[in-house]
Amino acid sequence: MTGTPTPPVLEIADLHIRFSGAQANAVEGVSLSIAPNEVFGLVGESGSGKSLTASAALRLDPPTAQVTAARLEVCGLDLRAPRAADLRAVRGGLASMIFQEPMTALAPTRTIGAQMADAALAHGARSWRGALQDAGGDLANVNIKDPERVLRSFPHQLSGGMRQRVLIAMAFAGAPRLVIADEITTAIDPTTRVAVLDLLTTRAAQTRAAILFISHDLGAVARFCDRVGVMQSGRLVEVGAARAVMGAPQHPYTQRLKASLPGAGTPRRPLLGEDTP
Amino acid sequence: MTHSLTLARPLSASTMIAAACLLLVTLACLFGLVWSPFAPDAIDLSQRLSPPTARHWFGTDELGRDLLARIAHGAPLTVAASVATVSACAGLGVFIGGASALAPRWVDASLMRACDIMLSIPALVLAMALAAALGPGLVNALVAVIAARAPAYVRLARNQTLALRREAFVEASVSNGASGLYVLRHHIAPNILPVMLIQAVSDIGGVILATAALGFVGLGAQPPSPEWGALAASGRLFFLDCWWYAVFPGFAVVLTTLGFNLLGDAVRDGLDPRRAARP
Amino acid sequence: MTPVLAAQNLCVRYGGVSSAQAHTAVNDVTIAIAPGMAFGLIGESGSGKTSLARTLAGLQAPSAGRILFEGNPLTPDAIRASAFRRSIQFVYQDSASALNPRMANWRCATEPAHLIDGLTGDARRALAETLFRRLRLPTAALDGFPHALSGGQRQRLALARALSTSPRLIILDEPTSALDATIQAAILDELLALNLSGVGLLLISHDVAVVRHLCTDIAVMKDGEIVETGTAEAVLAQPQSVYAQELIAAAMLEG
Repeated sequence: MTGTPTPPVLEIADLHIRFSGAQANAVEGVSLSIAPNEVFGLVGESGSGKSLTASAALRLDPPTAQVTAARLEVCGLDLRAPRAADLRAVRGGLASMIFQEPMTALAPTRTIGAQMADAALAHGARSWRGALQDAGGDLANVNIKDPERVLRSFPHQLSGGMRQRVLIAMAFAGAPRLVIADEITTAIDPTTRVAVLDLLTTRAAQTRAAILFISHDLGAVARFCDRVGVMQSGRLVEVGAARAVMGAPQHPYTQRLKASLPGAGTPRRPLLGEDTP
Repeated sequence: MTHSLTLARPLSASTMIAAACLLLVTLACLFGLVWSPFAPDAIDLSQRLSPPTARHWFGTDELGRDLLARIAHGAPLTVAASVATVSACAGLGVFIGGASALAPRWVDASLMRACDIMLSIPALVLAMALAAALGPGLVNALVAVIAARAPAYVRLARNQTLALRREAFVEASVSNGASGLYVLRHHIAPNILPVMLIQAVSDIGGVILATAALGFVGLGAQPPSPEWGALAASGRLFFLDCWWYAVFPGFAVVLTTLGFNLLGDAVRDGLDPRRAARP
Repeated sequence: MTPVLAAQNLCVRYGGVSSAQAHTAVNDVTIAIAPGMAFGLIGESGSGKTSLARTLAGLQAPSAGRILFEGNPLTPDAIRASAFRRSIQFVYQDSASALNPRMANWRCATEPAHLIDGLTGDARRALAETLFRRLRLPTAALDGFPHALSGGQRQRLALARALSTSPRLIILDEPTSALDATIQAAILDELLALNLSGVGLLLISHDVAVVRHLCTDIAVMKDGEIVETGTAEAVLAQPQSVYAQELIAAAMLEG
């Protein structure tokens, strides 16, 4: 570590990911750094490598992927050839992840309370009863009005927005330094979307955690992120302050992505040029 | 992404084994049919029950007939009978199953209950009972096998048809005025025929086994027919002293069955358009 | 001008032997779609917008109320008449299941014209080529099969099929919600060009931005009822109902 007062929570330099048998790299020389308490947005279309980059940060990359990097560190712990203890420290405490589809991220046959208490016990809580009480507190922190009822509920008894709140509560339960949110608003309705994103950033600000926010939703990224990186075909083509990148994109791909947003342009004018295939 | 789809893909291990099995049986039969100097029914009592020798590669039977020649002449009979059987099953399946799926509910229900009853009896037991009732003989045995196996095809065709009828492309077609016959011909049949073909090819092995089993217990082809089950049945009488007599026909059945089973898997992989990569 | 399609007090109820099990998906809906309109129907999942669209397309029967096609009641006989079939075409959300995987692309694209107008042979092939060029699909894909196309191309093929009878109105159920942003933009441009050339659109979407971009008229649906309707400008600038205000505010993230 250098002498900087606040080391980055995530430091990636020259990350390459290649699937065995594939001809091209799925991720090609990505470098990014996330400071404490920063909300970093990673945008791109399907297949751009944004989710793969994020999964490599927690070394949740698939077994067929070969990961090489000049640096790959979470809170100063080198994860290029990770020791088991470091992996546990990262996945169990320093970092957590919220997935796209809240229904599949929760076990269908167990109550929310049981799943939250289990996670707490695995992360060092001493008693089930205490863990369950803490879980109730965590749910109250994500603006769930009747945590007792939710603790006793099964995932299918909750709405999509409510399930996503539960996952946010679980993600922040271990006081992580970094929370990775992978397309968390894709499966929920638009009116719930803003509330869930507000909640995510508020919780991050309260706990001084950083967020790596992966999305194809440029509007949400522009509104909620401090900085943003744009990925195309495995490369990070543009990085900068969210307002700057979204306000005046420099890279042609980002410009095209921005032009594609139906909400931004003049109604009933073609979004892309006439020449687009 | 590669451009040529199937050719660029290496053949799977099971496809190779299938090819090897069927090639081995084919070569042995070709040899027996074309180059072997022995006729399948040429009796030579001086050579009776000879073990495998340079002259008689698979040995001889109790009348001195060359076993390789007999197995080779039994092959077209056995395979043709099986192919005819599964074709009949598939045809009956598409016809009855497809009609059942499109027919009024009570017709469908009665047909399906009849299938359930047939399917609740083990296929071989049912075939044996039917063959015993019809009397011994290859044709009767095949009729029994068809009757025992067709219900599975009927079920398959009906379920496939029902699933396809719910697809959006069928709804779109019907909403544009397509007749039942048009839907059957352009939407249902092209999508269920590959499935039926896979089932049929995978089933050839089972039918060979079933026909041979009926021949073995004396309900199928009768001696002196060189049908493999009948051959193995005759060999059983001499099994303790003359192992080759029962083993080689049995081996032919096993290799061919295995070959066709694995071929069924290969056909399934090859026919699925969703498995093909995008250009 | 007589609306191409109109619903009067339309209700759609589902299932349930007892009234407790029955579920009302569409409740007392009255709308009118004039020729050449791009009519957007916005609502969240479960709001009944797909049921309404399918009923208007004649794909399912209403439980109560009536549908008027060019001013005349849409009876079961009228649904089967080729005038209705030719004029109203439907595009499904999931293009992968809406296209027969074993029918060649050029046949898929011209199936309605074949069924309704009896187009066959060279004329059918020529129409397929015209449609492919119009929707900027590669003509090399004419003899291919839908599964070899990309998601955007498949949706273009589905559009080509709908266009094959030169309809007056195309009903589209979430046609771009499964597509990436730049591909969605290309399809939206295609739909806009169609509408500007006089083809009416009924666009079902949960995405306010998409509807705002494309539509001249908007209806907002919630729990099976239309809570707000009017021209796009009026509804978006000054939504009257609380729900429409919420929905539009949520969509204005980009602003």
